[in-house]
Amino acid sequence: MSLLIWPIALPIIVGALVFCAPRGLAKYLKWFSVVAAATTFGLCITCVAEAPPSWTVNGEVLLALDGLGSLVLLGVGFFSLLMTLYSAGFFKPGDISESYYYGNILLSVGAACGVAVASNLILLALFWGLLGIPLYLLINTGSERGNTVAKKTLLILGGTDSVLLLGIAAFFVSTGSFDMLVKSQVPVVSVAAWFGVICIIIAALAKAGAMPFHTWVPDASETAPVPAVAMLPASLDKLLGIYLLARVFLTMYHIPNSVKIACMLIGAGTIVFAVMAAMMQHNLRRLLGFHAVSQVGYMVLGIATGTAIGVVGGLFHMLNHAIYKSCLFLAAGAAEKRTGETELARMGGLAKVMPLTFVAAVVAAFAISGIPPLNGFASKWMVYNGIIAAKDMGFVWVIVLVAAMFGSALTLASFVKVLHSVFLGQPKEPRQAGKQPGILMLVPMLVLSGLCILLGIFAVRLGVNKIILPALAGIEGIDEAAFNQTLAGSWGSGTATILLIAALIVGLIIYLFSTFTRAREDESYVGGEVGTRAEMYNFEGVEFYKTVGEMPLLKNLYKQADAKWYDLYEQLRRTTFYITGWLRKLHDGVLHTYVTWCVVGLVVILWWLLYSYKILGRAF
Amino acid sequence: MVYLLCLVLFLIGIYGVLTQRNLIKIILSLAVVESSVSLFLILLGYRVGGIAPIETAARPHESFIGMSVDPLPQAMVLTAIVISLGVLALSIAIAMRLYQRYGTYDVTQIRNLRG
Amino acid sequence: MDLLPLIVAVPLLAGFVLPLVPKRAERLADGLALLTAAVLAALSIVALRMPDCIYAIGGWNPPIGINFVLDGASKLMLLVVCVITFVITLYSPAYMVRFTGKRKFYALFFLMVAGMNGVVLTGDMFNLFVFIEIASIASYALVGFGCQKEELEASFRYLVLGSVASSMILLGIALLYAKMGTVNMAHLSDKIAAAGGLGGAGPTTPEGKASALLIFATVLFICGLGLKAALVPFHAWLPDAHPSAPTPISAMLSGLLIKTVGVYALARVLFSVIGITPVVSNVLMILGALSMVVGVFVAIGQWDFKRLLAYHSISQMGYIVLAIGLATPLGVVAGLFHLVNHAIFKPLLFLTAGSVEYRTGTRQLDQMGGLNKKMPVTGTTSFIASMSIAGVPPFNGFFSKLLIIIACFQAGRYGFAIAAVVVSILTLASFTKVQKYAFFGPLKQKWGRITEVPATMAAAMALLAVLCLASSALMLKGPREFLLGNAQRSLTERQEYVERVLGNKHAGGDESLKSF
Repeated sequence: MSLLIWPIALPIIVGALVFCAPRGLAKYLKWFSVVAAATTFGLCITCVAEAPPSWTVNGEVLLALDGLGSLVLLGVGFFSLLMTLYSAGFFKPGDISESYYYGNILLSVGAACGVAVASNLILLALFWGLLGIPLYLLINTGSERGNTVAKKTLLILGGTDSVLLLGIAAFFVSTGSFDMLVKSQVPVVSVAAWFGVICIIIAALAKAGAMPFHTWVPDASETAPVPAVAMLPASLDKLLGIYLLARVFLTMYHIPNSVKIACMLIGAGTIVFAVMAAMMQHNLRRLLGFHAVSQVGYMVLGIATGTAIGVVGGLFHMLNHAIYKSCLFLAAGAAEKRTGETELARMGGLAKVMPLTFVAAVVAAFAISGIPPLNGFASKWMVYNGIIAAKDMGFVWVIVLVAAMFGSALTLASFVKVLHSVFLGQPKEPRQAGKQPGILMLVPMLVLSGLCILLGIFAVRLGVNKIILPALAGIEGIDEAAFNQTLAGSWGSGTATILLIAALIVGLIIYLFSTFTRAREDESYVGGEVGTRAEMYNFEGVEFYKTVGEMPLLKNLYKQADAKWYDLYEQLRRTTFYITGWLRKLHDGVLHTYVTWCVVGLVVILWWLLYSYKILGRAF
Repeated sequence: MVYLLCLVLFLIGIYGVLTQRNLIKIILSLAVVESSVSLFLILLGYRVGGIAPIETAARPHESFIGMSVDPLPQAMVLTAIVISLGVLALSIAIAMRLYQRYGTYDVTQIRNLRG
Repeated sequence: MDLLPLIVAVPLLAGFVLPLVPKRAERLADGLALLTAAVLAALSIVALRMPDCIYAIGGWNPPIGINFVLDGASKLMLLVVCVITFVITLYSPAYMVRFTGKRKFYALFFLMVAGMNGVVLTGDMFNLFVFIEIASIASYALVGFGCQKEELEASFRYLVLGSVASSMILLGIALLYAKMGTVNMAHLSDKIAAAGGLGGAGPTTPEGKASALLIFATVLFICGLGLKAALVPFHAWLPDAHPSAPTPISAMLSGLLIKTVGVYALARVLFSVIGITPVVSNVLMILGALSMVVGVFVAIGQWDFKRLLAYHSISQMGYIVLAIGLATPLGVVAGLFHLVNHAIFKPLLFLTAGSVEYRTGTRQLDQMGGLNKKMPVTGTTSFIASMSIAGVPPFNGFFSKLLIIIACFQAGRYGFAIAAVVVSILTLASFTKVQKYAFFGPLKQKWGRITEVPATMAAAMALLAVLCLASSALMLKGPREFLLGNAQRSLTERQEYVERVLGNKHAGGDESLKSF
């Protein structure tokens, strides 16, 4: 028994206990779960610090921890703890069934830790698929819509799990082992190897939520409880999906350029299309969900470049994204709790009533939009550099780079909308004010936004040198030297930060000067009459972007997207039911038809066998 | 020859099952199929001018084996007949019940289950 | 060794004794039935620990008399049949109160069990046919047990197609006897091997005629037993018959009958007797893949809970036959593993469907909704079984599907591996549909007053749900070797089978039997 078992076993066992907990204990469950999550995080840290020996059974390595695994394990432990903490503050007694909710949360923590430390691919697939069940149950909390979305989510995740099995089988055939930590670097020349690469990448992309397997992310974001969204689709699923992608690219296979280019295009497409969809959303959670898809594009892009800085950037972005996206979801949850709304049009002016949440949200929103000196900027910048460094792959890099930068701009645009609609502007009609976010909710948000700043300012010194590069230790071609080599000249962290801070100070001074000149405040008039404030100033953020949807080319695109033309799930569903209808018609309930099938089957098989054995024409 | 005869009988039975609409006729066709197989087994063991496969002290073992018909198929056919009898009885019972419920013996009218 | 006939005799005896119990004492009948099933389960576990052996009935040693053979495959099947029978018997008493004539039900039920155990144990082709017929006739009657319109219709259709199949099987046996002069499996196997098998290169095929007849017999077995196993295109009876039967019987039919009289018998005949060849292996794989795909596509459009499950049985049988058809050691292990798993989760699914019907009186999925709130045990067990059949970890279906896919890859059959994955996804789709409409979502008003099913039914379902998780352990090396590995060897090592039954004397030269 290795220490590595405990981060998996502890949450799963505790989770099972929580599931079975009697109703009388319900109110203690959240503290119990927080303690369990904290212990798990502690175990994760211990595992990473002590570097315990791998767990081997019958000569097969089942669990082992290397750099990349450590990074993901720590991330999983950390985010799980924060989200459990937030959940404890978020739910009032009676909102949910505690044993159901916390049981599922702990189960997913255990499964996610399992993915991070699994060395054996079968075990990885086991935990990988196991992660889908709690998500399904968490989304499925009783409403009709949740029910539909849960089905879709499980179907996409479970379906791609099956594809992963195909990939695992292919990997096994290529290498003769299930151990994925061994640097096999299988050359992609045989059919099996191609199968392996494509199938495992599909599974990774689906888990991370990249296009075209993304549709579950916005839907799940909209319907599941907020802390669960912040935990699963926004952080853990991203960490694990990108983790597997990195494994495929870095250790399992020797990826040919064609696959790299395909993945880069997928990444770029994901960035642009998802952010365009995000802009048009009027539901806060759905909008954040689309951004969660869009950001995956950068990670895929970074890793797919295969250059040192690109891979580092991709992984760093994975970490950063988990930080700011879960922070945004948590802020959204706080706003939702306060107003009871998720529609942007019906929120507004919350900055005054919940300033700390506002600060956290602004920091995270700027981080996701890639504004320096926050962490999102740092990692996106590295990804851009990585794209440029991957010039040898032909002119694709130009398209991809443009797409990535364009996507970043649109992200900013859509977060301006969010900040405006939710926090700024006039408060909407006073509805019964919900609860202020308590300390349990604020702490995770502030910690996460603090990390956004910290990892932004010390991006290279702390983020890259202390976190990402150690995680990539032992991978050829990716070390500090290679990283600095590609980075040199384009961006030194120190100077950039100083310049940016200087710029900020200048901006602040300009702002202060402008406020010295006093403006006169007065009622506003419409046609000589005093207009009521509410009518005049109630600009809904949603309206800003309606014009984008009206553009001639884009109009059709959006219309088709509404009709679910681009939803792979819907298209497959329609095809399936077409075939089903046809086959059902064949089963017409007449005995003679069925006997005919049997006879025809017999004749065909007989003919086939006789033909194969070359007897047809000899004896008959 | 034996093979051909029984195959033809077998096919006649299958043809009946395939084309007849009446429940009873289908059941009879089934009986034809089953009989054809039984007949086949019997004919396999038959030899022209053979004696009953009962060994007596009067006849030496070697010559008995040379003359008697094969007893094994007979034993098997006996069992097969019992089985087909059971199936026949059950099928007729079901056919009668079906007639009570649906008011018809036409199998193409009895198709509530489909798709 | 003397235990073997008991495994067939006990249920046979129970089948005759139970209808004699006076009607007032129906509780006694329930108790006796449960006792019988428990004894059977115990016997099967004892048999598991016995060394491989044969039992010559009436003291006539093979190849003359009928003999029972206990080897890896039959041990595995016995275990599956008897344990699942026990669980289903536990479920039956409470469920069957809705029907009159519970004691007749038990009679037919145990007759069917006796037939299945006989099929598993027998070492004689004709005896195999007899046991198949015993099980089949009992099942024809059980399908029509309710005597409603649809039930009778399904029963008749099943009976006609089943009888055609039986005739095919018997004709196949007759052809084998005509050419080889024996019906003992091991003896036949030996002689067929001596004659060069299906390839027809052996000495007894002067003008290829024997080989052609052998091929004809093989095809008859594939079709006849394939019909019993409900492989497409011989499947059409199953979606009518399985849902129409009372729920415990649906579970028995889908969980056990199509496997023992279908797949197991087919595997036994093709592997141990005739000898598998690449061509036959291809036929099996294509039949399997066809069943897999057609079954799941039709299933996904069903709204009748049990009918949906029945189509999935076709699809899952396809997996099993595909894997066994690969005829590689890993393929056979994977197929047997999936067979075991399917024998656990499919009965469970039928039992949960039956429980829902028991309380709500409907089988239409769109009539249900939110039942989790009222029937937590049924809901949870159904969820576990759904995840198992869909191949979601950590339940058993995941592991067997993984093994099947690996086996396909190992054999270089990429296309079949892809088919298996696609079908797996569609299976998941169809079971998320079941979960969505039946168990999750808001509770419909009209079901406000229903309650959980009686304790024995709930216990049976919980037991199977635990087995769904526990049988994942067969993936571990030790249990896998012990149960599945031995079973696989006993099927694929044809020579070992012959020697086990006939001894080492190598009966090929036994001229005295050839004289007829």
